[in-house]
Formats: sequence, C-alpha cells, structure tokens
Amino acid sequence: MIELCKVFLSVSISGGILTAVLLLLKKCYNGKISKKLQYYIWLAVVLRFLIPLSFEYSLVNQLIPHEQIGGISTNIITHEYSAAQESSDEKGDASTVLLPDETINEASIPQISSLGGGWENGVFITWFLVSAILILWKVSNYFLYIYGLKHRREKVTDIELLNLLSDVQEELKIKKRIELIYDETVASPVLIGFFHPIIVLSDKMLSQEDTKGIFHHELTHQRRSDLLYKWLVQITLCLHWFNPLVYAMAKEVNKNCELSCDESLMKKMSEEERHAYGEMLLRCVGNKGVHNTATMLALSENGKQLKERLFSIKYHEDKSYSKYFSGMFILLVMGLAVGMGTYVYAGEKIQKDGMGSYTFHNYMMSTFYEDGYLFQLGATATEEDLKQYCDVVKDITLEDGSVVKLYFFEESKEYAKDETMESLFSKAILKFSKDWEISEKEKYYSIHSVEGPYKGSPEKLAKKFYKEEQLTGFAGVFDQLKDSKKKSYADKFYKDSNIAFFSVAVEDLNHEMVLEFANRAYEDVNYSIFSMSVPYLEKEEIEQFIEDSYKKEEIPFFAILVEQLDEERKQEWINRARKDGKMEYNNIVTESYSL
Amino acid sequence: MSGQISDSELEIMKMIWENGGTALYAHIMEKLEQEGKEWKKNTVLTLLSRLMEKGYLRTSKIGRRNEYKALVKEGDYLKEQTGAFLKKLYEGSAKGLVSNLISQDLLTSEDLKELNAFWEEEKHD
Repeated sequence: MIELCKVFLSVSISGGILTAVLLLLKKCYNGKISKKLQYYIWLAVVLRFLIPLSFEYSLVNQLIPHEQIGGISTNIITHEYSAAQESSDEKGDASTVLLPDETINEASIPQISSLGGGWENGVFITWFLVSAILILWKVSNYFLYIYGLKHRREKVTDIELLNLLSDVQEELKIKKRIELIYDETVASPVLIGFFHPIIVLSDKMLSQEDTKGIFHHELTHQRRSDLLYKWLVQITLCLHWFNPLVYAMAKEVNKNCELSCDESLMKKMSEEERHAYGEMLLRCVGNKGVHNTATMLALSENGKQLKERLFSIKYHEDKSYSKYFSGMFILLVMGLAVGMGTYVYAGEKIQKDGMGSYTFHNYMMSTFYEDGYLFQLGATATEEDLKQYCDVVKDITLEDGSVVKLYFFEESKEYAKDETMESLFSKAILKFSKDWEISEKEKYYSIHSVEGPYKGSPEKLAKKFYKEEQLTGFAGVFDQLKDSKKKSYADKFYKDSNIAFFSVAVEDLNHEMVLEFANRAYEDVNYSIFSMSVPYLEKEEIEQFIEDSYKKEEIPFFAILVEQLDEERKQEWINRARKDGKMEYNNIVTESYSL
Repeated sequence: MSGQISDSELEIMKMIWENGGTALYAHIMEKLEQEGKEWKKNTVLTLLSRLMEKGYLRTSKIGRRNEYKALVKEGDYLKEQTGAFLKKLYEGSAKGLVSNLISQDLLTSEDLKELNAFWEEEKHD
C-alpha cells in the first residue's frame, strides 16, 4: 500500500515539476513556436500525470527513499566464479563468484524500516473519496446538462441557421451530426457532447456573420477532438486535486486551446474577416452565464483570456516558425517528462537456468539440507511476486504451531502433493527463519528446487558436493558437519585459495575460527580471504585491525575494514586522516560512502 | 408521438406520408429539390434525427441506403393536432370553429351540402 502511495505521489510531483518548468520557461518559447504546438505539448504533461511509467534512474526515483524490509542480505554476497577471479579489484573486495545455477543481485541499500502502519490507509481513503466525489460531480453535471438541453431547451428550427451549420461542417469536413440548440443561460456559445456533439447558442438574435464565426470556432474544436483533451485534463484534475500545480496546468491548457483554435482560423481569414471575428467574440461573450464550463468548450471562458485573444487576432501575422526550434523544444520537453520519472519499486532479479529471470522485491534465498534432501528456500514479504510466478501454494504448519504459506515454483511443483515432504519443509523453514532472523510470521516462503534424496551422511555428501564442485549442495550440508570437519575444510579452502567454497564455509564457522582465519589472511596478505572474514568479526577486532593497517600503511586492508564501520567511526577516521595529512586514507573513507 | 414538430419537420413527414409511409433518404432529398427547397444535407439529417427522437420515424438500412418509416399515421397526426387546436382556440367546441368558418366565408354552401351528405353516411354505418 505504501509503495502505491509513493508511486502516485511521485507521479504528481513529477507532473508538477514539469508544469512548473514549462510555465517558467514560457517567456523563452512564447512566440517562437506555434500556438498549436504550445497547446499540444501540454499533452506530455497530462500523460506524465496519468501514467506511472519510469526508469529506475529517473530524477524523482532518486529523490524518494526506498525501503527494505527484512534481514540485510549480506549473506547473499555476489560472487564471481574463479574464472573471473583474475580481474578482482586492487582494493581486495570480495571477488565475486557465480553460484552454479543462479545469479542474485542485491537491491538498493537497506534503510530505516517502515513507518507505523495505518496512517497511509487514512490518506488513501481521503484521496480516493475526494477524487471520486469530484469525478461523480463533474460527470453528473455533464449528463444533467445534456439531458436538460435535449429535453427542455428549444432546438433551432430556423432552416437558414441549420443550412449555415451544414455549410461550415462541410467546409471543415466534419461527418458527425451536430445538433443545434438554444440556451440563454450560457455565458457564450458552447460545444458539448462526445458522442453526440451539440452546439449551444446563447442568443437568438445573432447575425449571419457572427453565427458563421461561432460555427467555425466550435467546429474547429470538434474537428481537433478538443473535448477529449479537455476531459483528460479534468480527470487529471480530479485525481491530483491536492496538487496546486494541476490547476495552473488546466488553466494554461484551456488558454492555449482557445488561442490555437483562433490561430488556425486566422490563417484562412482576410484582415477584414479577422476584424469581424474579433468583434463577434466581444458581442457573444458578454452574457452572464450560469454553467461551469469544465466539461464543455465555450467560445470564451473568461474576460482576461479574451483580451489576450483579441490581441493575437488583431496582430496575427502569418509567421513561419523555426522547425529547428520547435523540434528542439519538443525533444526537451519529452526528455524532461521521461527523465523526471516516478518512484520505481526496486526489485531483485533472480535468474533460473536461462528460463528467464524473475523480479522480486525484498527477497531472500538460501539452501538447506534436511534428511537427504537439498532445498532452495526463498522468503519474501511481498506475496504478489510469488503469486505471479507460482501457481501452487500450500499451508505449512511449523513446529511451534504457526502456519505459513509455501509457494512452489515450476521445478518443485510435484513435491507439493507429497505428504512426507511437509515435515521436511517445515523444519527447513524453521531453520531459515531462525538463521536469518525472519521475525514476522507473515513471511511468504517458496521452494525453488528440491534435490535428492541423497544417500549418506552429511559428511559423505559434503565430500561429494565438494568433488563435483556443487556449491549450493555443499552450502546446504556444510552446516551439519562437526566443527572439526568444518575447520579442516576451511583450512583446505584457504590453502587452495578456493574463494568460492571458503565464502560458503565462513558463514557457518564459529567466531574463533573466523578470527583465526582473519589473522592468517592478514599475515599472509591474502586480501580475498581477509575480506570474506571481516564481516563476521566483532567491532573491537575490526578496530584493532584497522589501527594496525593504518599504522603499517596497508592501504588495501584499510579499505576492506573501513567498509564495516558505521558513520560515526568513518567520520572519526576522516578527521584523523586529514589531521595526519594522510589524504589517501581520507579518500578511501569518503569513497566508501558512495558505494 | 411525443411533442410538437416544427414546420420543416412536418414538410418531411408529408413527403413520407405521400410516399406511402416510407421513403428513402435519396427520395426525400429529390423531392426537396423539386419543391425548390434548398436544404443542405446535414440540415435534412438533423431534422430526420429529431423526428426519430420524437418517435415519428424509424430508420432501417436497405443495403447501403437509409430508409425512413413513419411510425405515426397522417390521419392520427391530423386528429391530434385538430384536437389540440380546438382545445386551445375553441375550448374544444367544433361548433365554434365551424361558425367561424362560415362567418368568414371559408365554408361555402356547396361545402355544407357535401358535409351534410357525409354526415348522413357516417350516421348510418
């Protein structure tokens, strides 16, 4: 829910910024592009307000904080296979290793956990109610007015007028039937009605010339489907009622609508005709009207606009506008609209054997071994993602009595029906939630794959997986081995510089062992092993190492260690490095911020 | 039928009635030309539409052409209009109308003779 709110809010902000930019830049482009372009370019803004499409790298997306719920996924460190080891960084970053079957990328950096729930629902309801009321109000007014027109107002029966209308219609090549009705309660003649357009005349005593001008004006609107555009704007207004800039946008669009309509008429008129047209506007717009012209196209909506229009009419020149400038202008606005973007729900991609990748949000994955089977379990807070990719789901009762939902992917579907597996699943899930401190019981679990049954003890299996270089399998059983066994494997990996397997092993070693390896790696200047052990060290231990590396000027080690510090400590090191004039160290710390 | 129809609309209805109660659009346009009425295409279409809305006409397609059928018989229309007229001007009294017609020499003695004969006939049916 809160993600949806964010997306919507960002759409509003985005559109608002675009509106503001266009309005502020008006002095620059007014006069250099046709009124028609000025009118239609706002379509980009309206679409920006209505369509929540964006790139992750857009401006607005960078501005709004993203959140991560659940454990920090440092356990899923991206690793590259030994082939790529050669290209590991000088800083001695954990060289990346590809797990045999899948690649998992980290999503955005975890931030402060979500705000207290509940308030966003109130906000949503308020927004929804106001929007709904506004839309209903406008739509009902619209239909009521049309009903009134058709049933209570006098239809124009004067054959001359009807013929005149027909003439102008033919001239402008409009095929739809246009009805003609009198209504003295409108302030000026209007065009209304999507499917059955009606021109409403406010005065019976108009001259032929004036009426012709009115028809030209209103039918030009009809031909350009201006009503549609106007409705889009109204919908945007209803949805973004809280954003003051939409009102400015609506006003601007209306203004440009009329101006561009006049512009297209002026092109075909002689100076005399233009003069007559201007006078007609003045004559026909004087009435006091009762109706809200939100859903119809009036000859003129307000007095101030009229002034600007008359000015344009009088000083109309047949200008040719620079295509180059117009083109650049369009590109700029479109670029802004796209670049502005919206809030994008950051997701993690999980690929499976080239069968295409899945995108998940806040996803955690790990392998577990239970009674001869290897399970790849996933856990997420977003059920929708799982619903998309899995069609089988089961309720599993855990040992402690709670019930969780377990989704099955394609590869593991068959196991859903297997009753014997259920107890294994629940054991694995329990382990998962303990190891990863998945606190909320509403987490949704998933089974990606099931391998097995494997015969033999965990030791045998560990050996087998090691030989066959099956990292996931190894990861699953390693935890079940005795400490001494674990140590000997770790030793082996250290000696063989088998980074991939070491990274798996180090997860399940006890603290003492990790410290030992860290020390060894430090002495042997083995950056990769060291960097893998460091995340498991205690604060004081890290502090000791960092002091040492600073004094001994071991820059790569310093860099590795610095990443484990919190903001405060980082700041202290920056100050210290500056004082000591050791600028390289200062740079290292500051660079670690941007990562 | 619902509502009054304008003079121009009545003209069209007459044409359709004269044609046996149905007429093609093309026929209507032809007749209008014959009668020297310069009514544009859209004008006629608007009038026909209005007649349809008021329930006087119904339209159907014959191939690609539009055919209009009168839903109101001429006789019924006349009756209704006459009744309304009488009510409005003569408080429903036909006698009043006839007296007026006579005094204005709009009804000749010939007419009266014929009317008498017509009256006798009607009475005996």
